[in-house]
Amino acid sequence: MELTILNMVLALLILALVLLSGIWIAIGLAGLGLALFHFFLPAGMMRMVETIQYNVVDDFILAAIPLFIFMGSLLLKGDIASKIYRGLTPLVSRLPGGLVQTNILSCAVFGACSGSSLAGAATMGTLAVRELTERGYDRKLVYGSLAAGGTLATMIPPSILFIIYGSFAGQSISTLFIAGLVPALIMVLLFMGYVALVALKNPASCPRVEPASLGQILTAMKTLAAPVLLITAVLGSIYSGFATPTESAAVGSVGALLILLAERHLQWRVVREAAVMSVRTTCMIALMMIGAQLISTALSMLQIPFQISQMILSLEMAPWVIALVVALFFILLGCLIEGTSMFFLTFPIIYPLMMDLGFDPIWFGVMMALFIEMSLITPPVGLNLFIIHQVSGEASMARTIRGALPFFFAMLLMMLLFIAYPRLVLMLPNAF
Amino acid sequence: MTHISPSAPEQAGLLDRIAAVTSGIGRELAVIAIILMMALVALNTLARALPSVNGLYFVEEYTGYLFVAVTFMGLADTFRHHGHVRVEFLIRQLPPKPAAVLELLVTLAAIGIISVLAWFGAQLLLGSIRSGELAQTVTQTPLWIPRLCLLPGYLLLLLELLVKLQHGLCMLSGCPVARQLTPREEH
Repeated sequence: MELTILNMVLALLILALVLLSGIWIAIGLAGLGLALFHFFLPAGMMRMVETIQYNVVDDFILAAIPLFIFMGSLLLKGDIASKIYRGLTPLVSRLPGGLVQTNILSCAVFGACSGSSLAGAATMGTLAVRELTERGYDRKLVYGSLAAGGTLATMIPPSILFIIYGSFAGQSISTLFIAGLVPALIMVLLFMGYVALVALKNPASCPRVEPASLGQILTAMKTLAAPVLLITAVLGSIYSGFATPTESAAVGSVGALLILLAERHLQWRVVREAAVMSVRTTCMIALMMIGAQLISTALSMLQIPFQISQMILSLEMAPWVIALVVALFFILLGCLIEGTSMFFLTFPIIYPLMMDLGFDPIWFGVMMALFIEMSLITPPVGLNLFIIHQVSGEASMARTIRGALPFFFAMLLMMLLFIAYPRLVLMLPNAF
Repeated sequence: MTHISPSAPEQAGLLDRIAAVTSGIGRELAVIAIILMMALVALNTLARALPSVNGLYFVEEYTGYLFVAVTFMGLADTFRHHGHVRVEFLIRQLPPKPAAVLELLVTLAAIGIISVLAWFGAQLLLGSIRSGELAQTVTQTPLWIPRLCLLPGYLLLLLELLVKLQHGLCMLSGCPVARQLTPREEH
């Protein structure tokens, strides 16, 4: 059977229906990949499935995924998150917004330790929601800051998404980590700026925190020293070229074990539970990678991405229009499908397409991270919304959604900025 | 309506217990693989920092094999603890009976897909044993060893899917259902 673009659109519609039916997304992707091989490629090609499913995961670079998750899980189990939160509180006590600013910064620092958006939102949500609401902070702002703050881990190195993207796209993971720095910083500043504006406009929404003394600030810095040192060592070793991301993740895990030892939290139970968390997240991602690789191989053999890109090129649209259409597509898709699934579902077609159209692969990696961040706080399937709603104990999710909305608009603003000025994303990687 | 024998709940319970043990064994093997991976890579990286010490030549290769082990050995336990993502929007909107039918169909489809992958996993293993294929590295590791993980990994996942299928059949026939884990339940 010949696979035309029309057939492909039909196949994607069928896939969308199948996914909506509730099949596990990784298994659905593998099913589509197998169907493409069986129905559209010569019979002998089907044997490629044997090696594809093995080769995808027999990869030293991708081994950074379980190791970074292990490092983050160790810190999570070792109560380091609450130390980060307590340590940052005195440092931002003078800023308008007080403890809500701590939410955002803590999520950013914890994101750099764990690489997981969901873990960031869940951990910081558990720590902060009750305390801030009891102190009289505006609930909407608290929920929104935590849901949006949690998403930062997707952009802040060592982001798991960048490891997967780098491996699938054949791009340097270190370069992606460097490229993520400026957008992450801009996003943190945008979030904090919005919180400051709300606090200045409506002081009742953010009760003032007693400004910290010099002694308190020094104690806070001491509390933060270990995790900050770990992050610096992990990222520093990658940026300096001393270690690959996998090596730095392994050494970072050892560092996390040493922190637990120093904090007297090191027990076999803690290590095992952290490893189990890592196993489960890794397996979820790895099975999706196998499915996505089957689809990707089949589609590239059928030259489908090439055909689509030729069709789009024939429309003679300006690159920024194409970028906007792609962005709109991802924002809408993000409302229906969870971020990681969205990545694997779209990558086999969108990535080759964007490359054929002349977009920069590193820029597109950062944009993908941004789309996934947005999908985490867009209803009805924004996972961070669910997590914060669960932590809040409120009957309706409406307040969490309304709280996250301004942060979503901040991300939207950033997205437009990066489409208009791709140099903002690429200046740091180009300088290295 | 699907008919099942009166002893189905007990069977579901037995199958569930067997799957819990086998998935647990897989999970523990994956845990060992992650810890080994960390030790191996960290040791190699730190040793390289020492003067006149070269990295171990087999670390990259064996780390890849350990990643294969983590992936396939942990698949079933991840499924058991609701770790594989799905869109439940439609199922949640449906009344109980149609939702159970849809759940059953989805599980059957998943069994079919994983069975095909398992079959290809078996073919890969048998092919590697027959040909005596070796890794193109200094260690020349026989490739059937790391490829051994695929088939048992998929079989463990199939066992979990069968538990899910039996649970679905129980739901449809109205018999008391077997234990169902919540996402947060500890292993």
